Amino acid sequence: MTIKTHLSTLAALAVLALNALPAQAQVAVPDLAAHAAAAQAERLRYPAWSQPVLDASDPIRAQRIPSVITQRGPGGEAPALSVWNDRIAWLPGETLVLHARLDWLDTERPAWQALSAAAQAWQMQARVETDTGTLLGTVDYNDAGQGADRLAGDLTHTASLSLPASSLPADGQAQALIVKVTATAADGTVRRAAGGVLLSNPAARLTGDFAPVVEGGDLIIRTKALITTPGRVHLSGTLGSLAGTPLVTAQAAEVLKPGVHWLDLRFAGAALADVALPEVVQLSTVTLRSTNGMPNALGPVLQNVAVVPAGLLATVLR
Amino acid sequence: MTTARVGLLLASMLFAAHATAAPCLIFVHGKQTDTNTFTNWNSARDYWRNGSDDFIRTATKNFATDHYVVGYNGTNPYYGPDAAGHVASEIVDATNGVADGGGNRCNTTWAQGGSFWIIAHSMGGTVTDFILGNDDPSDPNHNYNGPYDTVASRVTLAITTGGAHRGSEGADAVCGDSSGGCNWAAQWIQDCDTATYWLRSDDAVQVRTYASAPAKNIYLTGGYEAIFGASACLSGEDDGVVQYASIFACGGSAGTSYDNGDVCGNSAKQEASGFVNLDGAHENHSDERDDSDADTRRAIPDGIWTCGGGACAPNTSVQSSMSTAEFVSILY
Repeated sequence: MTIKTHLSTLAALAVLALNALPAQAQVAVPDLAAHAAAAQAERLRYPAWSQPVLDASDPIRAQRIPSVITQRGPGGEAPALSVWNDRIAWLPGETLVLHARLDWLDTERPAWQALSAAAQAWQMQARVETDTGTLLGTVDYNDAGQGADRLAGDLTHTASLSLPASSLPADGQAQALIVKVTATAADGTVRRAAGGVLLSNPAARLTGDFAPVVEGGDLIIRTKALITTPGRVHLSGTLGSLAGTPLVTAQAAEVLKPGVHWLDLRFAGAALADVALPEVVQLSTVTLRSTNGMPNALGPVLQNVAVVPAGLLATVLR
Repeated sequence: MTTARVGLLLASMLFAAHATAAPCLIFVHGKQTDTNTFTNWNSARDYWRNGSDDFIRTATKNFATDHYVVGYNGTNPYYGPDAAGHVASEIVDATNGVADGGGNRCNTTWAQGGSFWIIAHSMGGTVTDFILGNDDPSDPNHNYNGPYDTVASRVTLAITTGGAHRGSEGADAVCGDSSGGCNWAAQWIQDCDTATYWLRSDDAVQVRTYASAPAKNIYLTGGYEAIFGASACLSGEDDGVVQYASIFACGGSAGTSYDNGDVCGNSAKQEASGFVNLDGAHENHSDERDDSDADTRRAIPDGIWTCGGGACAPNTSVQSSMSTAEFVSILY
């Protein structure tokens, strides 16, 4: 029986405790406290720092997929303006790629040619500002296949932006920026939408060195990190199959001094025992952030970085 | 899981269902345009009232159930010291039997075996996510500015109504200078203050970026009463201020369109676990917290309502005249 089936069974059993409503006798709600207690019992089977993954989605990867933010025109008028980035955390030295697109959403869509002509007639520009309104830069988008725009005429307008080092937050800090995008049609019609990005300058960086070991019935992936400013760091990772199926998550936090450190990312034996483990697993995703305040300074997500030998994994499950 | 273990859990659940006393309800309000609810408890209490209608009176079964009303600075970002930090401290106070500003208290304290439910509206849901998702030393922002671990260890569950778990597209509109057609939402939010800035749909400000899965279940309900103008600016069903993708803490983009038939189920939330669907109500963002609209309630995917002993099909009308306050009152 899989973990998901366990939960479904528990939920179904919890429904046995019914509070029937007099108005509609066939409709009922279960006892919520009992439902919560069953969920808590299930949760407590594993430590808070390591949990099995219940669905096919790696939570670390899923939370790094940039959201598409859409804003309609006045009164919901079409077209709407959708904006998004190529990343949610913008790190020192990186170029941020910004996208914008006019969408007709749930209103009647014009024919492709009309849509294409209408969309290309719009000019798009963005202002990148701090939370206090300080302007960090402006960019013009294009859909002509120039610069960061990969494909001319695909209706997705693209811009890119680099920042001077002087704009970076202090080491170990981050800033949540707002990207205010304006699209203007030839007739003066305007659409606006607000996206954003985390300008992040983490004081902790993964070196790319990993060492899996078994200790106390858990699988530990020792992770080497370079710390440049003293403070708290948070390490998280997902163990998965070589085919990419996420299996178990782990997280850890420590306060560290500058220098090179080995951090333990501990995958609980109890969680490993409850998932369908293949013979060989790997650290599918891992990321390190500085957590010296809000917002945290997120680091990059490294993928498929450490393979755990089959023999070592077997000793965890023995 | 062995059959014996399932049996033990079932027994404990049934026991809990019959033996547990009513919880003390701890109310956490939503975003504010000023600091009144922080500086004046009566403003925090009034948040839950509309004329003679009173969410707390109904949810507590005419005050038969103990309750405590939290007031915090609703202009702070959700993680702020006067938001999450203060809310956490007040919740711990409540569990210790301390009275709120109106003299209401949880008469059975945590030390005496009391149980506690958080009832949060709008931004109160975001604050709750941050607290319950940062209770463990391994979490990214453990005990960031308050006793989050104590809160998580003492509360049984949280219910959010119109929770801004993924922010609000109304906040996007206000902060992006495009609120022209979103008047109701814009009126509610007013300006792009710090709280609003941190309630946008952008990933850089989302609570899920800065918290782990909640330590206790967060149960989700919210409204789908379209408001002309505002709702045209929000994706899918919404309560006029917060869209379904946010009310129901969905993973993916915060602006994904959902309705009662297809809103994300319990395995597709902003965190891997801990968020659980209840239902949808034909209420707007104001109705959700003031008991002024006893209206239709509809089942949603993985929702709580059962029909003839099985899960109700999504979008089934399960009640024709029930406010969210009354709904809360039948859950315990």
